[in-house]
Order: sequence, then C-alpha cells, then structure tokens
Amino acid sequence: MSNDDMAQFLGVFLDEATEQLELLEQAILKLEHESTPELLQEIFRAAHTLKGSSRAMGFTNMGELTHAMEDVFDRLRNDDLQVDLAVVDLLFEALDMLKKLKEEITLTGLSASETDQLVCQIRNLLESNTQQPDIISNSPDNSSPGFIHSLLSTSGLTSAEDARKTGCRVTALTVDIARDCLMKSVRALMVMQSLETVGSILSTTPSEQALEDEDFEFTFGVILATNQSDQEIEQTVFATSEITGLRFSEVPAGAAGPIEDTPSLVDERIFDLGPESRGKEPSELDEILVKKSVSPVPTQNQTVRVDVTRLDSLLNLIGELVIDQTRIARLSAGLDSAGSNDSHIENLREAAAHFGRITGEMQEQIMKARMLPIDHVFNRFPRMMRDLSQKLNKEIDFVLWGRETELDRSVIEVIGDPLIHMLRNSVDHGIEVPEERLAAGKSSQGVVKLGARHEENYIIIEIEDDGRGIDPDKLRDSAVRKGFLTQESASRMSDKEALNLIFTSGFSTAKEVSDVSGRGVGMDIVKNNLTRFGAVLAVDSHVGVGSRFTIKLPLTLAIIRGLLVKVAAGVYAAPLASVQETLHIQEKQIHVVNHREVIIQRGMTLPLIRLQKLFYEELDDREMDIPSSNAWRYVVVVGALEHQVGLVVDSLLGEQEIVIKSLGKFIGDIKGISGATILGDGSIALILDVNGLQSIANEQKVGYNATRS
Amino acid sequence: MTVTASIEQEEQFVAFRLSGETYGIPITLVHEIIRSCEITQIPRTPEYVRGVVNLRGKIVPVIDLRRRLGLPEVEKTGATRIVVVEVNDSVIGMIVDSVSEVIRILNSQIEPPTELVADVEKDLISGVGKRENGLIILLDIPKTVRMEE
Repeated sequence: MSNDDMAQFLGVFLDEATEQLELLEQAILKLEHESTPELLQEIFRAAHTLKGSSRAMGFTNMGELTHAMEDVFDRLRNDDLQVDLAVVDLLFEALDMLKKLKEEITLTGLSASETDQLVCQIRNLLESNTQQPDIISNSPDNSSPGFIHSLLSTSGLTSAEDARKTGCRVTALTVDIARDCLMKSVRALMVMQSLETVGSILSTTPSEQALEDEDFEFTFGVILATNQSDQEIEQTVFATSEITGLRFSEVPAGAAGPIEDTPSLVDERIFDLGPESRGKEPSELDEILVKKSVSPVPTQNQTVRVDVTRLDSLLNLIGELVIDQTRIARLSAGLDSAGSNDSHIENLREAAAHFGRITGEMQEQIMKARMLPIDHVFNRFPRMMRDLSQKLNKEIDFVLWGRETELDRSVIEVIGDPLIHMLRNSVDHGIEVPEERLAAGKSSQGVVKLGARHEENYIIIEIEDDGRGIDPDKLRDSAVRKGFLTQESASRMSDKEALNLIFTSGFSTAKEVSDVSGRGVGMDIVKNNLTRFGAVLAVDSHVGVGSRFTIKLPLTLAIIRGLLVKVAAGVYAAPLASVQETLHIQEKQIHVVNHREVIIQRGMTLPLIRLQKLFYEELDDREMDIPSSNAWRYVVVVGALEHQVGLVVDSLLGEQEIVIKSLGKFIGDIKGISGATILGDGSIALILDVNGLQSIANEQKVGYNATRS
Repeated sequence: MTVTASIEQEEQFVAFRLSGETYGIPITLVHEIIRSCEITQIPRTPEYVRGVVNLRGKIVPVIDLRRRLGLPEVEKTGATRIVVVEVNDSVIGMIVDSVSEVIRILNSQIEPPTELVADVEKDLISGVGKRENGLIILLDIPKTVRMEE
C-alpha cells in the first residue's frame, strides 16, 4: 500500500480503534462482575475487529497483542478459563498497552512499543490454565486457519446440519467489493463482523486468513447460519461501504457434511450458480444496488464526522452574526422612533425582524450540534474507580446515572479533571476500609454515585458517597491550628460554613498523605477551576452518613447571560449565574471593619470591593470623587452563599446575552477579568471573573480575624 | 565582508515613523494596518498595553510602541495608525505615528544594532538597515510584544 493510501486510511483506522478500545474497556469492566455468553461474544468481536484492522494497517505488534487477548476471550467463551483478578488485570494491562500503541500511531504513525513480553505473559497465563491443549496452540505466531477452525467450532455450529437442527437456515452469500477498493481485506472483515450480528459464519471462501491477507480477488463467499431474512442480511452487508453486490443461494440440506472440511465443494457452489438460480431476480438485484447508492444505511441515523475546529469557528461566526443582529435591531428601532413611514423602511424592519429570528434559531441549532452526552466524560471513570479501589483495598460500587445528559463540548472539555479529583477524594477520604464500615454497621461495600441532570439552563452534576462524611468540628480545629481562623470566629461558624473551609486554599484534613489524592490541597483548586467557567460548587455532608458535592454548570461556556455595569469609563459584564442580587445603597451605610469596607445585609457583613479603585488604581486618591455620605451607590452581590462579595459599581446597564471571547495569550490572565465581549454598538466590555475578585478580596482581608477592635 | 557569487537576498519591510525616526518590521509579520480607533482599557496590565480593540469581531490587544520603546508621548493625530502584526499565533496591534511605505533592503545592508540608536531600548532592535536616504531601525517584534518584563 502506498503512503498516500495509508494516510487516507489511518484516520479511519484510529477512529475505529478508539471505538473498539472503549468498547473493550467497558466490556472488560463488566466482565469482572458477570461473564455472560453475550458479553463474551461482544468482547471477542471487538478484539477480533481490532486484530483484523491493525494487521491490515501493518501494525503487527498491535495485531499480535489483540490476537493474544482474543485467545483469552475465546477460552473464556469456551469456559476453558475462569474470570479472575489475574486475568482481568492482565487484560487491562494489555488494553493500556493497546491505548499506548494507538497514541504512538496517532503521534508518529508507527506503533513502536514492545509487546512481546505482554504477549508472552498472556500466553503463559493461557498455558498454565490449559485444560484442552489441543484447541489452542501455544505458539504465538500460530495464527493459522487452525485457530479459525477452533473459532468456528466454538460458535457451537460446526456444520450446516447442526445449524439446521437449531432451527437456522444455511445460506451462501457471494459478496462483491468495489474494484477500486484500496483495502479489500478491511471491507471483507467489516462485512463478516456485521454478518456475525445476524447469524453465525460457518465458513468463508477463501479462508478467513486469506481474506485478512488480501489473498483474494474482488469477490468472496460466506456460508452463514441465520434466522434472519435475506433482506435483513442485505441491509447488514450494505452497511459497509464499497460493497457493490450481494447474491444469495441456499445450501441444500445434506449437500455437505461439516463445511470446513470441504471448502472446495462450497467454492463451486457459490461461484457456479447462475443468476437465475440465486433466488433473486436481476431486477431485484438492481434494486439493491440502487438502494445502496441512495441510502446505504436506512436504519441508522445519518451522521457526518466534523472536525471540532469547524464547529468552533462556525459558532464564532454566529456569535458575530448575533452582534450584528443586535446592531440591526437597534438601528431598526431607531428608524421606528424617528417615525418615518417610507415603505422601504417598513420592509427593512420586517427583514430585520426575520433576520433576528433566523439568527436566534441558527444559534440554537449550532449549540445543539456541539452538544455531547456527558458519558464522554463519565465513561473513563469506572476503570479509574476500579483501579483506585483495588489500590486502596476498598470495596466500591460505582454508580453512574444521567449519562445521556447533553452538554456543550466546551464544558465537556473542562469538567473532566475536576471530576477526577473529586472522585478520588471520595474514594480516598470518603469511603472507609471494609473493616471500618462493618464496625460502623454499614455494608462492607461503599457506594459512590456520579450523575448529571438538566435544571433549567444549567447542568447539575452530583458526586455522592456513603462514606464517613466530613466532620465540621475537625475542620474548625484544623483551621484554627493552621491559623486560618481564631478560636472565636471558628466557634461562631455554622456547620455549613465550616464545611466550606475545605475550599480554602492550603487547607487539608487528611492525616496521612496518600498518593491518590495528595494532601487534600486539591479542593480549592477544583473550586477555582470550576468557578473560572461560571460553575458553582457546593458541599453537603453528614458525619458517618456520607458527603455530596453538587456542581452547577452553565450549558455552554461560549454564550452566557451577563449583567452589564459601568465602572468609570469602562463597561463590565458580570456572569448572571454568579449574580445573587443588586443593591442600591448610600455611602453612609458602608462601615469599615478592620480596614475593610462592609455593609450589613440581613444581619451578615458583606465585604465590598470598589471596582473603580481596584481597576483604576493609577488614579490618585484625590482624583477619585470623595463620596459624600448621602451619595447613592450600586452594589452587585456575587458569589456563592458563604463567599459573597459586593461589587461597588457606578451604574447598572442591564442584562444581555454575551459571547465570551478570550483576551488572548498576549494579555494573558488578569486577576478579576476572565475575558471580553463585543457589545451591540461594536464596543468592548470586559467580563468580570467573580472568583478572581473574591480572592483579591481575601488578600485584602489580612488581619481580618487577628484583632477585633 | 567577502563578496559571494550568489544572488543577494533581500527582505521587505513595512516602514513607519516614531518620534522622527524610521522603523521597520518584516512585511511577513504584518497582518494589516488600520486607522486608530476606540481602545478599551484593560486594568492591571503594563502601562504600554493600551487595551483592546474590536477588529471585525476579534478582540485584538494594542500596545503603544512609543511607551514600549521608552519614547516621549504625543497626542494622536490623523496620521496615527495601528500596525497589526501576528507573532507566535497572537495578533497584536502597535500604535505608530504614521506608516510611510514598504521598502526592500538587501541582507548585506543590514547591520547589528549600534550605539547610533541608543535612545530606544537596544534589546528590542534586531538590526539597522542602510538606505540612500538614511537609516531604518529594524524592530525585533517577538521581543517587543513579549509580556514578561
């Protein structure tokens, strides 16, 4: 195969490999709990697919490894081997190696890592468990027809007669592959895999090995035992592209003994039958061909793989369209109020209104196109949880719910790491070891639940465990010991407030350092990362009962609703998700407590940040207007309940949808500002980063609790 | 310098004026040249960062090249332009007094920076190009627009 061909197919191969690897991982995880024949069949098929395609692409080490895995699955399927920890661990090890190889291929186009050792390990495992040494050959490179025969025999249908006894009919298929097809063997294997879903393949012409090696012309034959109608089989076969023809012929009862013993006979049977005797009229064949060219996969949803960068730039363009639409709407309103009756203006207004509707719908559609089920993040967790619980000797039942909940790609990308961290915390700090659980009257197996659901325009993600819970008293003690709080202020804290101490930077309660979740310094980072993109994190916990973390996320990170405010000459936008309320106060209501301006709001002190002072510090104090005590001020209260701050602004301008744009690498991260947006009149508003502002407020809190005057 | 037989390489530069001197930046880096427009200030940035502008829906940071080079400030005039460059995947605007022309300079006519141009930060200059009617100071753009200083 030329390099060009390789490049052309490499992408397809990698996509398929990714899918098969995911499938394998999920299935092996399940295997640990229940090894049903269906599951084993599924695993076997995935491994088989991967073996075939990696060999066809010339990645022999990948092929060898999957071959070895396939043997394991085969033995499991035949009950020759029992599923135990050693087997599953080894399978996972092999799976990790396959992933590594896939990465190497993605990066360099070559699968470089050495797999021999792992293949040997698997072979040894198989050998040490061998009960029927005749079936599986011990030599790794014996990937000969002998193996395939064992495959056939293990499918339980050794011959056409056996198949008929079980109520199946046996049919011979002749499949034509397009003459310009570059990877015949891949197509052939794909056809066979799809056929496996509708029946059992008794034999192929030429042999499966020859098909794999591309040792055939553009036609091959399959003897299939099936319950399905010819039509169903047709659909299945034509789901594979580059298949140009399919002919059927029944294999008469008693015509052949065990089919694999008489391949030559079958050969003739398939190829000698004339068109009239194939049980299909030529016109019907034409129909098949037409059907294929019109809609190759009638039963499946038609999808197109699109590069995400294209979706991103499409969204960007629509973002700009939204801005222009706002401008046009404004102009049109302006003309309206000018009171002109010109028919052109009437037309323009109609066009503007229609334009507005279309833009809105377009925005909605493109947002939908970017939506993915949250399972894209969740599906890697079961494996992680399994490894973790083994490492920490804990028994854990990991429950996922709401996997189909859809959210924007941008959110999917950023939510993974915080979730990993929190799940690790749950296993490491939350769930107790079995003995401790039994002593506390719980079942030895801990439960960790992770789930997602929609709530209005937000996604709620919950992580729940039935572990030991978080003790607020311990948090208070620890905070005092570490100098975060005075004894007095700690004791005045409510339990709920105390729980929130875990989000304080540098705070840790874990007595021992574990290599799973470090020193517990993570929660503040988790919270920071989440708040950065407008999420709100809350914790609820009861000692001995368990803990629940709730994350409230916007559906998308690209377009949000913002409250526009004016500060000095600039316009700023506060993400509406974090705005609690707005207040209109007088200067005289502002008190100074420990060098810090606060107001009393419902009996609580609310620290204030004067944005003007914060953002325009270069202004001399004398230039700032010295407030008279009667001057009115607007305060925007932001942040979660226990960490609210009031932002003092000059005026409120109103709510609006804003398209978030980055300030770019050059400007970089500015504390207190998370990005910018373009307003209807083309001017730029900066987006406030509530979390950053809070931490600025905290920095100013030096000595807050130290002395109380 | 020895004379080589090969055809001499020449480079094109966009020439602009700053404080009475002619400066040049390689034309390959220049995205476009726009008239001065409304600049939105960004708090908590270095003084030479004037803010951001809306360039057809893109947020583009703008630096004041006079401030960056340590030259005295002037009021903006009708000739004031923003030269938009693309460096390291970032698009950045630079305010200059005026843009004059595109010039070609032979590589052999470019010399390393000398004491001649001592009144601007020498680190930011990649060389000096010689022309019939004077010198052109060639800016090291990647260094000029680097933030960490």
